[in-house]
Amino acid sequence: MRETRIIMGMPVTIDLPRARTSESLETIFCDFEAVDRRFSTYKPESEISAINRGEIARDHFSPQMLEVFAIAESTRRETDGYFDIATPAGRLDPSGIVKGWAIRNAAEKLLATGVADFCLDVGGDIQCAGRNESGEPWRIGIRNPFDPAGIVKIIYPAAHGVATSGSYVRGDHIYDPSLGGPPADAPVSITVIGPDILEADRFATAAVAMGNDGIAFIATRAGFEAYAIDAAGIATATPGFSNYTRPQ
Amino acid sequence: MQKAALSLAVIALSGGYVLLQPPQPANELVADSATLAPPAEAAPAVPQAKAALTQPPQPAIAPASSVPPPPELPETVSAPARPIEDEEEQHIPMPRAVTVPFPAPRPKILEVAVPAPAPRATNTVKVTKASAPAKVAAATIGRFADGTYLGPAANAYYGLVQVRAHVSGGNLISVEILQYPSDRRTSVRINRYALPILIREAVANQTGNVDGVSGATLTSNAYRQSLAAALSQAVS
Repeated sequence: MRETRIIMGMPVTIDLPRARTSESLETIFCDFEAVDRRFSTYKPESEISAINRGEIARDHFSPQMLEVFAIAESTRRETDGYFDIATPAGRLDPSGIVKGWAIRNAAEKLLATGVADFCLDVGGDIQCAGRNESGEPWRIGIRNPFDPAGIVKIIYPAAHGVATSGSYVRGDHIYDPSLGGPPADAPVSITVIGPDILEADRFATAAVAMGNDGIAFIATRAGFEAYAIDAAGIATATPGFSNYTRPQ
Repeated sequence: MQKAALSLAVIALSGGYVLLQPPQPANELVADSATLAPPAEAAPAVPQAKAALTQPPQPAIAPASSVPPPPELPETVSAPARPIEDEEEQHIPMPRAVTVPFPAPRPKILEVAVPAPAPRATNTVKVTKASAPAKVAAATIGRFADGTYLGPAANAYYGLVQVRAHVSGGNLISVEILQYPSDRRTSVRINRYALPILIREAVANQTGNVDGVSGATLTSNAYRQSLAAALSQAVS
């Protein structure tokens, strides 16, 4: 059972190859929609929009908001300030955390309810588990940034998370805090494989903000691999990336 | 040409894991900086082994004559190594030569290993384990003529890297990092930790069925501008 809906302004695909009913699928879609209602900076009625308007005191933030803020703060420290949900405009935009966080929560819920085989794809950030419909390891392509219909690599992430970030995604929403804008030398895209999708996503975002230093930053982190593509069409991979280019 | 070939090999070998990598099988080429940092003009210490390289590199290219090192570059220092952990992020004077072990090469056809920047340090970094048996390098690259070789300043993705290689007994025994990017704070931070080998390749579409695609979906002006700039270089 596989279905795609547009949530959070992006395609969300839930693939449950062994599901006999749509119950799990509907539950996960509902969860993503609830996340969007709370965290969308595009929706004036969302909690994050109210916070940015100064209408909610910190004591009244929801537990989910506090959890996301805590993850964001720890990511900011781990990335030397390159990841920061405070935008140059002085607002808070936690979307760099929210997507990965929501996917991870969905994956945990599926596993907890006995769904062992799934693939969740939210706007190109992917968390799989188990096997695909054919009973084989999940195969994930890395999109060719110069040819959206093409893929330049096929990887087998197993239960690891795969996130791709680029300086060009959704209107340059990644900032280099030292410059107050997107980094000039950022790779066109960087795909990060991490222990889970939240880890992969937050470090993919930070790696792009670091520009050409991002790939080496990922390489120094245990449990992470990355594949960056620059504007000239040259890819740079971390040493262990090739472990994921064949079934494990 | 031979020099260029060796330089490539040197660049390929000059990345390595210094601090965070688990110990590799020990070997006799432990890159203790005190022992592996001969002055650039030092003669090969070990008689040359049989050179199986098709085009053996020129031995003992004197850096001072052919390609002078940066003027501020002193001889390799042999001052007591300072634990790198002690060096907090701070701006310290530009580097002296740093001796690091050569890493395990990860050769792949059409792929070139690119070293990350060297550790930023004012003293020689003490490295306790060499990271690869010499025979790996020999099997992959071929044996070298003994001597000391200076590579060109090469673009290592985040900036220029220049290395000097020391070959003894037909094997690469150490690589000094003479120049590395230090102008960005992330580079400096990364340099303190490790020298990862990064694999580079040209991207090309692959065929095959996939269950999902990871990527960015929307392009923006920044991307288009960057690509246009790159392509304009390609045709000029």
